[in-house]
Amino acid sequence: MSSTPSSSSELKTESAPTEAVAKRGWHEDYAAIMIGAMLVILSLLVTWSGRPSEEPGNRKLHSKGWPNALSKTIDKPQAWNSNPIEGLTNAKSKKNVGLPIVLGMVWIVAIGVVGSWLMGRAPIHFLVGGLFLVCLTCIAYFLAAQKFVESYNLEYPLWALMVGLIIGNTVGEMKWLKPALIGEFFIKTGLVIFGAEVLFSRLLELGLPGLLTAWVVTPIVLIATYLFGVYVLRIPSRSLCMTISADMSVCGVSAAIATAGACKAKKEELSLAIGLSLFFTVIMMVVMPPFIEWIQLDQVVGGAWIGGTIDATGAVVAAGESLGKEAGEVAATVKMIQNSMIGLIAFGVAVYWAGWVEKSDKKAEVSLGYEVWRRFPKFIIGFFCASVLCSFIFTMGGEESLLVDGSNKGFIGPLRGWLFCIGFICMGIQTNFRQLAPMLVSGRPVIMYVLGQALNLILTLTVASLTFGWLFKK
Amino acid sequence: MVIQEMIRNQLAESGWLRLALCASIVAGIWLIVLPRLSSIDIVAKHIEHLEEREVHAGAMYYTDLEKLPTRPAWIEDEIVLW
Repeated sequence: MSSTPSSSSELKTESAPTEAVAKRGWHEDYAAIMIGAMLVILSLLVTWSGRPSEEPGNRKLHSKGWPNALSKTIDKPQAWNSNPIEGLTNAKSKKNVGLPIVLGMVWIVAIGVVGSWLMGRAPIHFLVGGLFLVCLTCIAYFLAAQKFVESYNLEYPLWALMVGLIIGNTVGEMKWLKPALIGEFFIKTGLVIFGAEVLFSRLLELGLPGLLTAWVVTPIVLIATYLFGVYVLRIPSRSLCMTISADMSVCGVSAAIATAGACKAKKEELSLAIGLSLFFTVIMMVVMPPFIEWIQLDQVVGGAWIGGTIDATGAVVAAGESLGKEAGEVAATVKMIQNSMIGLIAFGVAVYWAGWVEKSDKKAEVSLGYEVWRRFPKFIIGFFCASVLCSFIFTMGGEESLLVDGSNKGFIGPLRGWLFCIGFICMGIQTNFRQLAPMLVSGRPVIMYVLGQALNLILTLTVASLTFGWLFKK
Repeated sequence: MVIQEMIRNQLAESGWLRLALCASIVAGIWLIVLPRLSSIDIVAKHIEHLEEREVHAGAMYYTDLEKLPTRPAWIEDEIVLW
């Protein structure tokens, strides 16, 4: 009945078909694109149908975008301290979120059933294991909502991985559970709809100083850390180097997930990158604000420094706000600009990987373009198209931007969270950390992260001082 | 064959036992240890500060935040300049 965790596998693409791909079914990338596209369009249409009659373009009146009827069908456990039942009530609105949580679980099971069907598998086989997995997902969300855990930015992927690892290393992959372990499909579908939240127009939110802080430093740190890991530290896995570099230089877990998909990183590599990111995020979130106060750095420069260096968005806002309101605003906006870079970075990494890293032996026989296309992770196209579509709608005008905000805030964002969370549960169950043991013992990934972050800290402080402290000083 | 089957069953049972043990440890940490940590003065202040300002520190992406980030008003002039 029980078995040990299965061997590692990539966040699979067309070049690496496994049992997950049935003979007559679609590849999971295409299934993820199809379902993701339908969900994004559905959310936009439902939000559009709920267009407010009074001042639909007034951002102050509709600060979270237009109301989205689908928001009533999905939510996650709220913050609780000693009694998890508290997590069923929103402390601010006093609204019970029990039903939306259950409906959120139904969404995930329904997506799993349709996905299994598209991939040529019997949906009924998914159903039993899927119900069990979605319950584990809910448990992971409850673990992440504990106040202490949440206030130090220990995000749900960590707990989803932990829950999965516990299952995988105690009762193992049970026979009835195996058909439901389609974690890659869930993560890829989550990434496709995540594209709708990656808005290019946000890149210009802070004008030139923001662009310089986020756009000059981030690519330099990303590339320098990657090259340092590959050529100086000689870490054997390039995908591990890229995933760690992206999560450290761009925006933590979300960047790690997108880049790991683009460079076909192994599950264990993504887990390691996320663990490293969350560990150092907690340290930086606690240490940076008092350090900035101690060296008497200008609040705006300090906010930009925090926004450009701390990995996770929540931790950035928490650290920035502890310096002051203005620092919090600048920190959050710089981080938002970095967030918006994920689309381009994931696309660039996918092209680089397909064209240069995974070189074919049959180079002479086929063109580079064909090779790139054959190896390209197709779901990235879905992710990119969703991003372009929503960015285009967002820039059309005030009303349209509120349509996108309402769609993302009310439905796409929460659904993406559930999809990633169940994906990480599956990853935890199937993860074999023994494969990473030699690398962890060598300490090279940690050295790479620390030195890369040191470079990030120095460069970001320099550019933030130059832009926010001198050229565009308040 | 029978012995193999028995060993397999025993292993499966011990798996469920180990799962129960792990679940108990997790429950103990989350229901006893973490609430106590939250009540330590410095941690309680940190949590209170975040709640006052409606900061969702567990946000993974900016759309997960309670309030979408807004640029400070003074920077408008700088943006117009370029």
